[in-house]
Amino acid sequence: MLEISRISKSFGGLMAVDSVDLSVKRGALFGILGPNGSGKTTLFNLLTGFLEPTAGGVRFEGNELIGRSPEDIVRLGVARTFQVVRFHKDSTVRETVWAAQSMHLGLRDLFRTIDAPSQRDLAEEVDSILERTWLKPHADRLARELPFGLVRQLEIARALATRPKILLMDEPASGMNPSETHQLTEDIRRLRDGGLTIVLIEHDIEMVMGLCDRIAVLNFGRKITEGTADEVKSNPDVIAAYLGTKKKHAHA
Amino acid sequence: MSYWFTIAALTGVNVLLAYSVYASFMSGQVSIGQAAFFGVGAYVGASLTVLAGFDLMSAVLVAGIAAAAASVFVGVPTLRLKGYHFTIATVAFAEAVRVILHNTKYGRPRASGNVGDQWLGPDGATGFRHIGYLNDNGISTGQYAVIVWSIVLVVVVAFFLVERSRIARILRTIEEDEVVARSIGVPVARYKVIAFVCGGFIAGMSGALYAHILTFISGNDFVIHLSTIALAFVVIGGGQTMWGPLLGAVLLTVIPEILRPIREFRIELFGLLIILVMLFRPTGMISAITVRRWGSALAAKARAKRPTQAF
Repeated sequence: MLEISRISKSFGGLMAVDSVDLSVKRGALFGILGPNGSGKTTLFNLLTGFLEPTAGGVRFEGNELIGRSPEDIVRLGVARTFQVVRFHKDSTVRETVWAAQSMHLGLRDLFRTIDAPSQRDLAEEVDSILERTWLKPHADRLARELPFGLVRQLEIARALATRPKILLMDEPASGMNPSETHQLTEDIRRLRDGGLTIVLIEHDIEMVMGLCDRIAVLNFGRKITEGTADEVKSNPDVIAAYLGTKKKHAHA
Repeated sequence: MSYWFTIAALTGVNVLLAYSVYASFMSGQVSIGQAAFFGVGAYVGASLTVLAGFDLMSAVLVAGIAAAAASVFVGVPTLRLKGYHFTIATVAFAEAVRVILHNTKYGRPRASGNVGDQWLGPDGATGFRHIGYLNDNGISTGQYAVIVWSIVLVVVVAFFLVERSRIARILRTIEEDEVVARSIGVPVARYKVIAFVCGGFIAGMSGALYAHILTFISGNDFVIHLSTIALAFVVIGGGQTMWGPLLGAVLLTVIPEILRPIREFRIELFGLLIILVMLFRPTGMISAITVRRWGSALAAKARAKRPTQAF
């Protein structure tokens, strides 16, 4: 579904992403693991058109993504969430999701209010997204009043409103407590079971290992390995680059 | 009385000018060049009634369209850029327009008139005199104030409808964070241009209405000071909601007039007011939160008024 071939991005002399190949199959729950600064977010920015690669290509369902604008790429069905939460603070939760439906709508719909009778189907879609992301009871609160864990859910809800085929999630669990992370893991699995392909960036090893059916590990912009959780775990390069030092602390 | 009718008409003109700033302000674009579109509207509108025999309404509409065309010219190349480029471009464009208007001469000689005042139409630095449409058609200042405020009403209603629609939410998303807007598939540049061009159209109508009250305009009426005042209407009234520009423009036009008796202090007092608002209410006098509170208070009242079901 998503084919990334030898993609590279350099900032000045620094190779942020160095000739990475990845292939994500339809229905996959694909994890990209790597320490901070290993090029994960840069990779997402390349896939979603926010950055131009220095070299390489990305095909999504047969369409070349490189050279397209971010808004065109979303239209093809590639949605993303952000590591740093971003939303319009003076909108309510419901309005935030509602606004994100816009790209599928005609001019007429854009001038309708949220409670207009002609918009009922769209409003129901918003409700169902809010339900799935645990935001329904908070629908009429301002986005800025949401507790942190739910703000992450709002990021997901907004991305879902674009009706994506594939969802790229940038550290969705960052800043969450263990029970929230656990809940999120369940949610992500449910989204996948609902037919969405998911690519997840994380540095929470436990989460990725438990959740993803295929994992790639990046370090200094290069892919060191790719495989199932067990394959990745036993790879000596991974242990050296990442798990070796960190695991001791994590399990202390 | 006629003096206050003139103030009323000018207030309406300023409200329109404030909305012309607000249109692109909604998408986070600050224009300090609305004087240009106001000026283009004034010259086009006046030329149409004086030289081409148009009626007022058609002239005002065509003036709006001309100003909108000018704003396409500024907006398309600059709104793709981020940050201050757009704002600077609007300032530069407004200066250019002012100089052009200051040096424009077309029209025809007047049959009567004193020496040096025998030209109908813009006459370079001398300006555009004898915009006599109201006088020639027997429209009183009071009637003119009604005409101006009818147009204001249409614009206010339009903004009221837009404000509650999805499009406003999208513009606000662009204002807050363009990256997010693009990530939900919003063609950001296109939305910004459309918002700005709508602003240009309103400024053009406003300018045409202004020309007909003043009956005499010149390039120097459309200096950067006018653009900054227009921006101040929005910033002081409140740029987060459509009620802000209305309140800002009305207060900032009427207060200086009321303060006229204290003469030399009025400008200082006016300045003090601006500083106080900026200090204590950086969101402007009316913020988005204020409007939401009023909205829910009104809804609660409506619910309370409804007859309760019998037990």
